[in-house]
Amino acid sequence: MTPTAGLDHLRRYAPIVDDMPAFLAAAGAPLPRVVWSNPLHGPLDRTDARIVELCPEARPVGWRPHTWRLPPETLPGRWPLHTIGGIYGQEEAALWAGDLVGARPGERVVDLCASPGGKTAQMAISMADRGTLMANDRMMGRIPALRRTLDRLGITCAVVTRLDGVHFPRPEGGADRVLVDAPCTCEGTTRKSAGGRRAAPGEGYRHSIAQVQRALLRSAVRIARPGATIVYATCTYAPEENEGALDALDPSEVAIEPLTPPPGLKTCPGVPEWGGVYFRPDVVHAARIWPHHNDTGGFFVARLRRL
Amino acid sequence: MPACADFEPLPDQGLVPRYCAERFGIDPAVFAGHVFWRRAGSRLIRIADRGCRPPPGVGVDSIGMQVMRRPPPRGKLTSVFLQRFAAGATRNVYRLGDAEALRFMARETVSITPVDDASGYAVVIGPDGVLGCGRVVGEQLHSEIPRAWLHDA
Repeated sequence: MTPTAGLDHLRRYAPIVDDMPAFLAAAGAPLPRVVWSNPLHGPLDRTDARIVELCPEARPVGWRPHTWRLPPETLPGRWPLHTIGGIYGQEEAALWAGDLVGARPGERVVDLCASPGGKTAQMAISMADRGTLMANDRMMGRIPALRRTLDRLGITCAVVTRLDGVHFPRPEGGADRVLVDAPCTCEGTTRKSAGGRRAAPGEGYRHSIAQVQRALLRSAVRIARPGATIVYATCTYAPEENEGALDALDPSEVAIEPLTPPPGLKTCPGVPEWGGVYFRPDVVHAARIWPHHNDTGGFFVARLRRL
Repeated sequence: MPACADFEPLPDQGLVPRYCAERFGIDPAVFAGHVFWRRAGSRLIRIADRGCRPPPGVGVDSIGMQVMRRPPPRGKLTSVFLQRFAAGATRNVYRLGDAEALRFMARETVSITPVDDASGYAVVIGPDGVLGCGRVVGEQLHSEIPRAWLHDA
């Protein structure tokens, strides 16, 4: 199989990607592994040094501290350091979304679609493991992976629930922060060696998942207190699932905030139009992460302010 | 601390810290800022940050981290609990080198020279930190690492 085999469906993004050959080449290449050191496990510098000892080819991710890029063939999940919670492996493109939530100690934070728990764990660590982190996932089969992530990383501030995020109950006084890491067509995961999606998503599925995404976003707006932060993220390129979902929100209820990516992480603005449909103007404040810009997977993220 | 439908605060909040201090020499101060919970109608004990409030009236799958399935002294502390809270243990502690740590994590039995209470549950520490719970029988250290962890990778 050629590196770009099965990726023809991504050519629909020619109008919004700057370099289609580079995009397709990157989307078909093996994905570097990325791990970050867990501060709840022990001193970060000690864990960082151990990562380099175990994998001398490890290189720091320039835009995020205590985060390491490993060759694609590395299997850090087999290291005892991983099993005992010293590190967590996460797709680099997804990391910024968890950071953007900006969760603080003592807050009430809701993660509507939490499993397998990477961004949930990022938020718990950002909270210094203090406060209430509602880690929810609707799918029973995904709960064990979520619990294992939280347990392995030593997190004690999380409450795991198995509810439909669309009908998630509003915490008393409202949530301080809400993450909607929405189910999507996963077009940005083509680089994963296992579990990556290469088959073209059907238009029917794309339409139905877009409806779920809009409902989850409306739910997030409902449970957030005035002034709260809402982060919306997907691992797909489709504007129907990204800017289109943001466009469905009432501008009198939420504003889309401008984002400043950390130095070293290249992002592109949200697209204002797709297929002849023009979105609300502030969707350009969202960020797109293309695989050929940072040698990562593909990702979309937006930070909203509840008005 | 208000209860929720599925979990309630453990009536005796000193139960687990006393056991940890007696058996493993763990300073009870490491549990400051945490609350022990039990699942309603069961003996299962969990620990959560003091500020973690399960929502009333909502079905909760779990809160915080599991401590043990049944109370001490018969209950066994979970390996994840020991990994988080037992780094400062001073009694019934066994330190393993790289090769033995790998074997222990693979649920294999390791030969040791018994210390302190000579038998029973132990804190097992490897080069990267606390590995989890072991059980000493004679001069053998049996691994109590969950089978499911073998599939983590």
